[in-house]
Amino acid sequence: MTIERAQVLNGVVLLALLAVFVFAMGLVQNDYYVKIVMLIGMNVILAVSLTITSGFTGVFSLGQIGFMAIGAYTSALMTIPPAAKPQALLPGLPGWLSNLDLVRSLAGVLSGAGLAAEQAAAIAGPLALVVAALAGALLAAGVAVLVGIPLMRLSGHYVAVATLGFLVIVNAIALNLDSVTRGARGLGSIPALSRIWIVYVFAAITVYAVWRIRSSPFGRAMLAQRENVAAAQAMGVDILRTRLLAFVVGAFFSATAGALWAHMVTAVAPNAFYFIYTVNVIVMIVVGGMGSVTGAVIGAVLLTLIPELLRGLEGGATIGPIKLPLLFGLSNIILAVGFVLVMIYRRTGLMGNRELPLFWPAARTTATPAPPVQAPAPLSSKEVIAPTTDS
Amino acid sequence: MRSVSPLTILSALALFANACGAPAAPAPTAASAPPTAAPAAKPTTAPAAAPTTAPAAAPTTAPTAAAKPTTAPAAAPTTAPVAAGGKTVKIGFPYGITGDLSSIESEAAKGSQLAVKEINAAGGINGMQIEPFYADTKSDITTATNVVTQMVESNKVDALVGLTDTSYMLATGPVAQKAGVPFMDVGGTAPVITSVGDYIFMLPFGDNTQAAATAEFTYGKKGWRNAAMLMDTEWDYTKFLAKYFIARFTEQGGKMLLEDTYKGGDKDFSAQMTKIKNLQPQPDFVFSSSNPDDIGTIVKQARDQGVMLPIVGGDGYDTPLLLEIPGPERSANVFFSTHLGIYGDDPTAVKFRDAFKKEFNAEPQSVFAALGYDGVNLVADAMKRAGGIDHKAVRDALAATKGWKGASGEITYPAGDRIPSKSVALIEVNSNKFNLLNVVVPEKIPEP
Repeated sequence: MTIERAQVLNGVVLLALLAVFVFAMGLVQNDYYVKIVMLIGMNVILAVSLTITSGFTGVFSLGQIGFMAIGAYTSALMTIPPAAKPQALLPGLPGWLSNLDLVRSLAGVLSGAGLAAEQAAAIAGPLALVVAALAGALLAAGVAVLVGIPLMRLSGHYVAVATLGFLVIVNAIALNLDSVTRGARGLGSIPALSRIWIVYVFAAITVYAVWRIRSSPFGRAMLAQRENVAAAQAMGVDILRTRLLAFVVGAFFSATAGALWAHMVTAVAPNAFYFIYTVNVIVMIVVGGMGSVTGAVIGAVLLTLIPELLRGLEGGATIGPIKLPLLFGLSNIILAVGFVLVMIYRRTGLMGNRELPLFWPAARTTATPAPPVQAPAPLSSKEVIAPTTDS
Repeated sequence: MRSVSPLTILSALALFANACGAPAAPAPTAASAPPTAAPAAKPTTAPAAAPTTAPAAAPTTAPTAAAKPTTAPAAAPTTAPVAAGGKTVKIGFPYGITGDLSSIESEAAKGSQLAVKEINAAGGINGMQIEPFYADTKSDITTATNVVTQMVESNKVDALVGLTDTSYMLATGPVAQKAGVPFMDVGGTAPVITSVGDYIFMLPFGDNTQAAATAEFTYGKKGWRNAAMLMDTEWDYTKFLAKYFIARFTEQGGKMLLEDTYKGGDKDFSAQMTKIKNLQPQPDFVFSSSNPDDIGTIVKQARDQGVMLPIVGGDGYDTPLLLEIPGPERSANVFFSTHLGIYGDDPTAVKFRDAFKKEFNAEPQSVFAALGYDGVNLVADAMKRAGGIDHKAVRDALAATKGWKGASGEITYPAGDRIPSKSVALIEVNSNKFNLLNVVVPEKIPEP
């Protein structure tokens, strides 16, 4: 009871802090900082969704960014104004989609519902993004079910290679389905609908959902089968169903991040959603700690900010009296060295499997009798299996 | 059992705080940067560093990083100091100096550095020195967007010169357009780029221009009437080049006897060659719309299987592989269109090549060096013509460019269009050499 109340209180405080932060960022005029803050939010979504897919279950997925691409392309095709996606340009689009003007038709619906025209127009943009993002996310989740049923039966590096294959397939489709995606040139003219507050609402929902899943029977089943498949199976955990759930949820949230990204960058292209981004997100959760939600958040924040800051050194920065020459590639080297150091000195990442106590008082209380780092202990506790066996 | 976590949290927070505090820093540090740090960049060493995460990369790349600063100080004293208190022209140069695009964009970046150095040495633009902002896009679209946004919003650049890929232009162009900053696309050739807005200019000719040039050359100059087409279906570039060629060739009255395809990376073209050999009547030439990786193999196999017809194509042929793979005898009787700049004895191009050799101790590796060089010079020229750096005036001056002579060709922007009508170099391959035949501006260009 007290734990629950403390959690609710913590949640409220955190949300209030986040709201103040988002409001303060709303006063910033410089688009560069706004973009970086939005990018952090998107990377938080990606890292947290990879945490549930790979961190909780131990199923190492390299296909995450493929789902991001699905979300980005789907939502972009919905919101691009009809003038920029005529049938002549994209003959593969169904007629209704190439005529769909989501922002304007939503504004029409809203003003039909009695809102003033200005208000309707102001609300229609964000609403269109939410609708498009959810559509992309549902499509990605559907694809994840189809892909996941065969793939989640695999484990170890087999699943890594297979999901990598999925990423390659998505990329090949985006490159070659010219009549829908315009191939390597990509799609432009996407309305810039992403706002900091929208990104952070999505991020907060993602973090909350993944946290709830973690402490739910499903989440405990995921952690259990990660530590020992045979023991979890013996306790009645349905391995395929558990992993599939993690895979699909991860795909869903990754796709929302893709939609937000597309409406920030205002263009999508196949090479944006490929190995570079895949590796970046993996590094985020490896640095933050595989299996820790707060670790993923910290990893996403650090690995969005640090490369940007280091970039400043490359273009010939001046530090005190020393004038640096142009040193392109320097940030890559520093990051690589940093990553190697993390792997040597903190192989489990900054957080390991733990959560920041600030966020999760529950974790602290359960940690006292049995540390969550030592896996077998939570595995044998009754609540791990009891709820999963029914339903 | 929780011994490490406070330390971790503390260090994480410290990093975070550090990170939050720092964004203010880049602006003042960059502002004082003297414009020419050029030779120390050595972008050619950078690509090895590209994978940010591969642990193995770190030890191998670290020595190169350590080596660079030692060579740098020698260059530093020679740089011309910015006149104290003088206003500068800020130009942003987003290039993918590491990553997939580095082979072409690091060359373009060198060309731009050379141009900045020359302009500043000659007294700058309207008495103002150029203050360059170089940044590496890491051949990543997200980073490229960050880079360009930072240049526009934080550094407040007056113009942007850079990038060579269409998708990057589509992602970053809107940032410049929204802020009203002229953006010179150095290498992206798809005509869709300029649809982003009226501040976006293309420096290279569009694929429709070079296709029209070869269509007019084969039909008009050579008098060939019947063509066989071989097209790579893997790439936008090859698909569109073929489309534009067919449009212009048939418009003049030429006939396509065959339109055959292959996939980039194929190693066996015997089926296609047999089809061409069995055509009745025989075509006058083969237009093969191909990328650099395949064209050498195609020419070799065509000759080996008895197809001795002329083979014609676009700037994808502009690669040493076209000479190396087929060898001197087989590579004869091949024609292609490309950018000026590293061919022929055009005085502007020769001057550029000499300056490049002197600056970097190497021949320009590709025509992108000339494009990166021209991009800066054209923008500087427009600023001189506009009499200042007012963005709107510079944009209008750019749009009014007529007959401007650059190292990569002569540039005119037709009224209302920001894709240049630009001279195309036609090359004939003979005795193991690329020989400049002609420099032409096509009479009519197919609609994009």
